[in-house]
This record gives sequence, structure tokens and C-alpha cells, in this order.
Amino acid sequence: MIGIFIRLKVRLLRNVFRSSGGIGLFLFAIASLAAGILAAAELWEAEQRTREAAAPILASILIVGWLLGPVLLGASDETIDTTRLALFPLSARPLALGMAASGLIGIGPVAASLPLLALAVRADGMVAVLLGIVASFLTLLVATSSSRWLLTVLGNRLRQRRSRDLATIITGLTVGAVGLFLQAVSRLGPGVEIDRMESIARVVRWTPAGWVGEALARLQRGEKVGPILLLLATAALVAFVLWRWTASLERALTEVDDGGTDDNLTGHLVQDRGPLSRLDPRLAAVFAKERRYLVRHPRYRIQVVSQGTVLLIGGAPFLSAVVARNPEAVLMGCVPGLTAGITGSNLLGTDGRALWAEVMALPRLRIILRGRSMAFVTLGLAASLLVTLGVATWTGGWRFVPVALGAAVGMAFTGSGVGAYTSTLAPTLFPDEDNPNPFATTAPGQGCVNGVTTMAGVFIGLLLALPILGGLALARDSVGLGLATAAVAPFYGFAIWFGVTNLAGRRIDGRAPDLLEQLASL
Amino acid sequence: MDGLDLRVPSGTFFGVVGPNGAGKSTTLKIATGLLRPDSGTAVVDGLNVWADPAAVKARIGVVPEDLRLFERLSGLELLEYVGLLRGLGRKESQSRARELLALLDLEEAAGRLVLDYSTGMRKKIAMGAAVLHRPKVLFLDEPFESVDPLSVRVLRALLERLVQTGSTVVFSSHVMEVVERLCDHVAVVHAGRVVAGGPTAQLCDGRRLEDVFVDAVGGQSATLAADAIEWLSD
Repeated sequence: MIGIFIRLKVRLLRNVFRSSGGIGLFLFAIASLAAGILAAAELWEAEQRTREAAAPILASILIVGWLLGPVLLGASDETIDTTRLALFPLSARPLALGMAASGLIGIGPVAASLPLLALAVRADGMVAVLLGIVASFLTLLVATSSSRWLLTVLGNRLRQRRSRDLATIITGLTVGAVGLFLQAVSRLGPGVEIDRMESIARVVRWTPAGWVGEALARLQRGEKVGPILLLLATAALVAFVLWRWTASLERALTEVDDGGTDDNLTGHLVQDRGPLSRLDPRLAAVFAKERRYLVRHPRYRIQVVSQGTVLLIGGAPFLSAVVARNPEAVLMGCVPGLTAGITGSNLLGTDGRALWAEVMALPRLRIILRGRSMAFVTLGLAASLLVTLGVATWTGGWRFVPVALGAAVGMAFTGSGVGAYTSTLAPTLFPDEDNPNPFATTAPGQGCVNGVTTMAGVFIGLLLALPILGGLALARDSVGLGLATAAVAPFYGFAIWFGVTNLAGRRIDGRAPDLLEQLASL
Repeated sequence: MDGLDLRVPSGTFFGVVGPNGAGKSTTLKIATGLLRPDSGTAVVDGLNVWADPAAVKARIGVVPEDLRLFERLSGLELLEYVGLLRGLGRKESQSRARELLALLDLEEAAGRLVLDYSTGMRKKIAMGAAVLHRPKVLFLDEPFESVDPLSVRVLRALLERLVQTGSTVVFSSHVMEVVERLCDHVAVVHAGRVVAGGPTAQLCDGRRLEDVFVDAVGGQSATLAADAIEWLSD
């Protein structure tokens, strides 16, 4: 059974390399192996004190990362998918062993083993080196078997829509938080102090994930008895995980969950009364649909969170004005309008596979662009309103609120217009709904292309918003000019939005089949 | 496609059958304006699909094989959305959506996201979206796949009603029994060409459609093929 699973894993890997996803896997392989080699070289060169501190941390990061990564990013390894194996006459124990063995095959385990082996080889004495190699193997075994146990236990729940949505949001927030954390750390000074590493190591070495790392650390100074006991404890942990995993597998092979939920969303798409009822019904429908997506679709929420993070990082220099309670800081409240508007820079790709339905029903595709970008205008306005009122409350700069809000309307329209145009340049198709990875794309390089076009969009958006920004600068000294800016900015922004969406519409009207083909090929 | 020439008489229930990869779905995509042909023309209800796509799309309804819908809308919202895009107006869209949900036995699931629908339910809601604007021509790619027998009856009744009132239904299917029972005209597509076609009764001439199909595409008898595998007979 072990041989069958290893051969299956090797063949699957080989087939992915040969398929259209091969480039993505190749890039992943290069990046992972490079990271592994760099980490190994760094540890090889490091002093003993550093290696001792690094070992428990490295082992813990590998095990915890392996444990949580597939849950949050959506495991796609076919050799661990019990739904594919449920029909075969397999009992749980050989299945668990086969799946555990196949877990050790792949780019990830190879890359992860490099720094571990570097630590093992730097151990003091031949016996210590051999024990270090055993420790490296046990680290991978703990990581892969516990990860697969968790996936098996959560199997049915992970297939539920709510869990997938939650995983998507948690992953997005985690990545955003890590980004902010790294920004903060980079400002504290170069490198990470050895004392801090040691204090972290002192905590993690007593956790099950840190035992094997602690064994590696002690092998660096030539100890034998302590490491052997820790390795025995880790081996017992692996045995326990395999035993529990076998029990979970037996359940997973016989339980089926359709993954559905019992939501009951009442109410119509467009209400009979209210502002939307005055719009063209088609435009109102697209707008109403997109607004619901902004609330319901986890990927949209992640986009919004990502933009917020970028705004926080980019706006850091201005935060001092807020902290100093400068009333003029209220004027910056219009900026989220622009950035949130530009967030809608993939209007055709986010729901790309269903685009055919709109193509069939609408006479012109520009209605989709306009309706969807209008939803991002409201998002921008909401963000600006929140920031403006918040900053005004904190700084007392209420006299600047009308200017900021007027400018926010203009900025939101400008940003959304630019986003709509950017959307026609490189639609990025979101993967299918069952993929919880918020950063997954359906073709390699998509995210990169979309990132470049979005950055270009931000630049052009700022250029187009210069008159509004100029008005804001004048508003600091003159109430009259401020009110004039507040009055003119919405019309200016709307004119920009109308003109740019018109240009964008020209790019796609009559090109529906080509657009569908382009999205289908991704 | 390889010079495919297909004429569908108005007001008929027209079946397109063919082996996997024969070009059925491609034919329907070209006819509905979802796929641009390298050459040739497609005319629906007297209008050139590629010269006046908006006018053609206003007259047709489609249920494609690769059924991608707006997953994050509820069933009711989806039908309303399609109705509004089709220019039906709010009240009309809402009332037609409710009626169709009741007909398709999806009333209880009306408030659930389409994402949480089963495959059969998705087929039914897609069918509802395709007929909501009362199309003159309806194109359906494998419409009965994964649909339970009770729902198949409802869908059949719905389609038959459309044909009785002057609409044309064109659908592709692998299930010969369904095509034979429903369709008054059939075309057999193979390797991108129509290899047999005409009124079903005339084409079959007392034989089963499956046999006519196998003869037309040059396939061997399933019994003979299975007999050739020795270990199956042990």
C-alpha cells in the first residue's frame, strides 16, 4: 500500500509539471528550494548559540505551518482526499500508512528537510549526526501525519461553505497581519536579536511541536540521552497521531456531507421603493447584485481588507497629523474613497465563469461595468464617511467634514471609473468556489498581471484626482474655496467615471465571445 | 466544426445527438452567440447571430452544459436578476420568479444561495432563468442530466408547453430514449458534421433511435465490444 501511494504521488506530481499548472508548480519548487537552501546555508554558517535557539523555532514553525497551511489555503493533494478513496476496498490502517508515506514525497518535504539536515550535520559527533537525521525525519513525519489527521477530522466541515468562507477570511487577515507585523519589525532595526530568539525557543521547546527541535538543539552541544528521550517522545506522538488518524479515517470513509447550509435569504434583489427604483432597472439590478457580493463573497472581503492594509501602510506618514489632533487631517478622509473605488479593478473576472448569463441577457456589456463599479463607489463612500467622521471626532475638525465628504464622492467615482477601465485590461478569473485560498489564481502569473494593472490604475487615479486634491489644499486656508471644492468635486468625479466607463465599455461591447473565451482559457 | 449545416424548423422540439466530442456543445454555443465561429453564419429567427447579437439574445434562452451561475445570490434573487437584465421590470420579474420557483419545486430553497444547491437544483434554476423572459427559441445542453425523474416530468411539461405555444426548443443529449420520446426532429452530429437528420419518425422508420445513431456514427454494437473482453465472460 505504501508503495502504491508513493507511486501515485510521484505520478501526480509529474503530471502537474506536464500540465498547464506546471509553470506555477515549477515556480513554487524554485522558490521553496531556494528558501530551503538559503535557510540551510544560514544555519550551517551560524554560531552554536544561534543554531540551538533556531532549532526548536524552526521545527515548531514547520509543524504548525504544515498543520494549518492546508486547512487555510485549501489542500489539493489528491492522495489525501478521502472522498476519492472512499469507494475502494481499503481499510483505514494501511490507508493511513500509505497516506503518511506519500506525505513525505514532494517539493515541500524536500525544501523543509534542507535546514533540518543542516542542523543535523552540524551536530557534535557522528552519533549526534545520525540522531539529528532521525530527528529531521521525525519532524517531517509529525508535520505531515498531524496535518493529514487534522484534514481528515475537519474533512466534512471544510467542505461546508461557511467553513470555506471562514478559512478564506482568516487566511486573508493572517497574511495582512503578518504583512503589518513585518513592516513593524523592519522599523525596529536590522536582524532579530539572539536573546529574543532564545526567549521564544525557551517557550516552544516544551510544546509537542518543539520536542524534536529541542532534541536537535541539544545535539548541537553533543548531548545524547536527553535527545534520545525527546526523540522517543516524538515517536510516541507520531504513533498516537497515526492511531487517532486511523480512527478518523474510518469515519471519514463512511460519512458524507453535502456541504450545504440552510440559509434563508428573504427579500427581493431590488426593492420597489428607494433610490434604486429610480435607476435604469438593468443598471439597478447589476448594482444590487454586486452590492450583495461585496457583503457575501469572502474574496471581496479580503480585497477590501487588503486595500485597507495598503492604505494603512501607505498612509502611515499622515497618521502623525491624526495623532497630533490636527483638524486638517479630516481632509484625508476622502482618500479611502479613491482606493476603495480602485479595489474594483477586476469587475469582469471575479464572477467570470457566470459572465455568460449576463452576456445572454444584456444588450451591451458596459451595463455590467457601470453597475458593478457603482457598488464600489458606495464602498468608497462608506469607507470615507467612516474615516472622516472618526478623524473629525478625534481632532475636532468638523469644519472640514463637508469638504472631505464632497471630495470623497469625487474620489470614489474617479477611483471606480479607473477600476472599471483596469478591469477590461486583464480580467483575473477567480478560482472555483470550493477553493478557500484567497490568493489562489486559475493561471500562473495572473495575480502579478492584475497587480501591475492595479498599480497603474492607482497612479492614473491619483493623476485624475489631482484637481480634487488641489481643491483640498486650497480648502485648508479658505472656507469659500473649500465649499466650492465640496460642490464641484462630485460632479467632476462623476464626469470622470462616466467618461472612463464609457471608454471601458467600448473596449468590451461586442467582444463578449472573445472575453468569454479569454476567461474560459484561464 | 467541419462545415456543419443544421436547419431547425420553427416550433419544433429539436434534438441534437452525437458522441462525446462530436461538436454538439460547440454548435449550440455558436448558435447562441457565446462562441465566435472562424467562418460561416448562424441565423436565429431570421436574424444573423453575429450581425445583430443583441436582437438575437433577446429572443433566445440558454442552459449551457458548463453550468456556472451567480453562486452568491439566492435562487429567488438569481431569477429576479435575470428578469431585470432581460428588461422585464421589477414586479414582473418578481412574480415570474415566484411562479417558476413554485413550478420547479424550489420554493423552499428560494432563500438559499445557489452555491448550496445540488446539481439537479442548479439545472432547474438555470432552466427557470432561461425561460423567464418567454424566449422564442430555447437552447439546452444536456438539460436532464442529474435531474430527478419527478423534476424531469415538470421540465418536460414546461418545454412541451413552450413548443405548443410556438416556441422552438433545441437541446442536446446523450440519452437517446429522452430524445426519441420528446423530439419531433433529430440531428445526429459526428466529427463536426451532421451525419443524419430529419423528422424523428422518418429517421427512425420503426427502429430505435439508438440503433440509428450507432449506424450513423459508425460505432460497433455494445454487445460485440463487451464480448471481445475474455475475462468479463469468466
